[in-house]
Amino acid sequence: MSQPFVFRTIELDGQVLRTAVRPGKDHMPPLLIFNGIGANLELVFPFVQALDPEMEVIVFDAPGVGGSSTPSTPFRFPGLAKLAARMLDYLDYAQVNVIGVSWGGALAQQFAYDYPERCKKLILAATAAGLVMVPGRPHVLWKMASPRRYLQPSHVVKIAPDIYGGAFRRDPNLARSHAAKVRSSGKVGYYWQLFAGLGWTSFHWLHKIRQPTLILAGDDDPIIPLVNMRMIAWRIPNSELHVIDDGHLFLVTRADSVAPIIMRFLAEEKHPAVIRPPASAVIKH
Amino acid sequence: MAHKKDEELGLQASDSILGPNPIIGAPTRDIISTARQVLRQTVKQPVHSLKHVGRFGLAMKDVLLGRSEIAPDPADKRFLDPTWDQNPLYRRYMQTYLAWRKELNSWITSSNLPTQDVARAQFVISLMTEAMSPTNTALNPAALKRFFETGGKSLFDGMTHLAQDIANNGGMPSQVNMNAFEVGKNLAITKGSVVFRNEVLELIQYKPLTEEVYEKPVLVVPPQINKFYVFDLSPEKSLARYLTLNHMQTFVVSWRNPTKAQREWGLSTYIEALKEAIDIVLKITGSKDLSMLGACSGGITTASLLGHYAALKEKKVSSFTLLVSVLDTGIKTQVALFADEKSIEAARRMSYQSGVLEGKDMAKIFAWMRPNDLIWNYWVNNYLLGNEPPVFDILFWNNDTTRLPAALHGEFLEMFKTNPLTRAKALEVCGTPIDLKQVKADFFCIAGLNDHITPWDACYKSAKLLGGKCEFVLSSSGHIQSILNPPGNPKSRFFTNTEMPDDPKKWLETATKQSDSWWQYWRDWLHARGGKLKAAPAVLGDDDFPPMEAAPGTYVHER
Repeated sequence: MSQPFVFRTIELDGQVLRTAVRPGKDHMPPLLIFNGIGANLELVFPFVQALDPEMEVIVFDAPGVGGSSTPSTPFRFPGLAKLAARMLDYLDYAQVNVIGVSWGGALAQQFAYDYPERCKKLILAATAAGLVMVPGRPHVLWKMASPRRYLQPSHVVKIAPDIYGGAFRRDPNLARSHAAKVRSSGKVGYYWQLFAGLGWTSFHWLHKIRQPTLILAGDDDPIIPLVNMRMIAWRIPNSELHVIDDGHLFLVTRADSVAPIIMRFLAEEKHPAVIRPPASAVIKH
Repeated sequence: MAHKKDEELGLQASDSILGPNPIIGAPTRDIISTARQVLRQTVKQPVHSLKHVGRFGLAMKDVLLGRSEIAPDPADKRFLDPTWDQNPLYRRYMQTYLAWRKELNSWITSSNLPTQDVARAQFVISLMTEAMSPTNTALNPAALKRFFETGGKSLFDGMTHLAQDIANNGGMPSQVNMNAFEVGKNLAITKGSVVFRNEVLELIQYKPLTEEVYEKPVLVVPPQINKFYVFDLSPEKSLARYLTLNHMQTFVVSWRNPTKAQREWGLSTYIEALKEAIDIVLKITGSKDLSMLGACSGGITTASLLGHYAALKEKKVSSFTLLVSVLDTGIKTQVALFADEKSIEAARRMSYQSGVLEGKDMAKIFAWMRPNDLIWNYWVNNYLLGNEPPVFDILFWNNDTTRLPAALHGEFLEMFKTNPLTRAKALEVCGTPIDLKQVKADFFCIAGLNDHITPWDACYKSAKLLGGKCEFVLSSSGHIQSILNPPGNPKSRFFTNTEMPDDPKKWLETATKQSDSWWQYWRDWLHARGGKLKAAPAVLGDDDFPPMEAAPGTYVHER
């Protein structure tokens, strides 16, 4: 049985962040999740439950989403990466594995690039390299540009097949249960998040991301067409690409089949050798 | 003109050669910073430096007047051509070089730098001086003669080889003609079968060649860094064949060549896999214990496994052999010259990020530690003389490199830094802390007198860490030649000594010199611990572990 989440609301320089940690065992590094645009942390719970119950998982509401406060001026991605690093300091984590989904995938790229020592392995799901990308179809993006799907749950049910693709095209109940978990703090937060990515691109430094990287892509993703993920996989040197037969939200709709891929990628040796330094500690060179 | 062109090509080649150094960080950077330090030293100690410039001037005067007595070391094969000695111009050229090298060395050795820096500076200076040797230029008389003899074809061939090496061999002169050999066809051909395979290893059982065999089998654990067939190179140079010819039931482990998917494999992974293999060897042979041999990093793995067994009070290994293995990293080797905390960290990060440490990169480092033997030799042969790279089985094996998974590499680096095997319970593998003093089985330890990778005094110190009764034997050869040491070589020597004094020098002084190879001596040692003789099994494997495929198996072919 996986343990229940421990919720904490913390304040960093006037920014209130709502965080949730699912405790785990300390033989593997914890996993930090960067969620998609406008998505509050509850939306990833089904995914977290599919992961190994022994893995510690950290999720949080981005500024302006869910239980986090909406800042008066918007963050850009480097600022958000810094905020995430400060949050880890506060919660007392040194090194984590990172997964970023969609908008959060862009933030994850930024975090891995800015804080290479704190990000051991990187997972990117249904995301793109920012400005340098092959966009989805205009009417999909137009629907994405508005926070209406978060403000008016019934709207999600209507547009979900179009924007999320994959399983949402076949199962209307999926959209309804998705809508039930949505909790938004308002339009401004959403627009601020859109602003964070305005003009941003990682394309020119992606090759400098050295972490082992797992890239997950849906083959029926109307928001981020598959070719974007192929491009990221080509740019990041130590990466491997997995294509999943689903749409944009495969992490939620296909959690049971995606989680093992992720666990295999994150797996470490069961009994790693422990090497203790000599008592005198300091070694001269 | 050709000379100039050659130098340019050399520069280009060295560019691609001095890539990142996987064991010890980025040497290019470290070497450049040491070189800078050397240059600064000229200014920092002006009087000292001027004195040496003056001495070099005086030496030069003698050289130019033809009065200099300076001559190459008789062991230096580079200047064997009589032209160097007889032609007055060549003689002066060679002597200028030797005088310059000598003065540069004495200048840095007698400078006021700290010892560690002097050692680094000497290394950098030797890299430079060996590279600048007149024998490496197109003026090399052997190359000129060859040029006229072949009507210029040698130059054309040489340039072709150079272009091929830049394209295919990372700019390093090829040491061997890789097309001359094939594993399983003319190398690694002793008869046997793979009787077991897991993710990490294949277990090869060799077909007994005698009617009777000793009860207790021997299991050979090769280093993770190289292919196992150094133990079964050619029919003459095959320890596996030698053992089977001498009444031993012989099993050899063939490690899988890891890719980045095996990034997380560490020491414990390898030890778990070995434990499985040991159980199967015991089951197949019906023996309750066995003898092991661990070589180089395979020796580190074996020793850790034995420590783990000791902690579990398992008695499956009755005796073992450590072959050119360093467990105590307290003695610093040339590999360690540039290994400070920062470069170790960088090395660890680099291999973790790429998932594996490429064996090719490691081979390069070892080559640059002995540039005359492993690089410039081939430079002259392949490019200046235009010869094909030699056909030589040991070099083929050496060039058939394997990768090291990142986690294991990281653990080796950490062990190198903190030396945990010298302290009880400082290393924990497979969940148990280990204390080598608790390993009480008899063991045999072999080191090579001319080994530059695992120096013999470090092997000697390592042997003192274990709790059992030790038979230490020093072979007269180098790292690989110590392993490939079949009886019958008139040049082979080895030293034995019943005492184990603390000081290795004292051990050597009081040691007995014996002729021929240590193999026979070791065979007798194994026989004494082999139990009873029994009829050799008619078939390989058993009902549960039937032969799967003929040796050398599948893993050895994975590039």
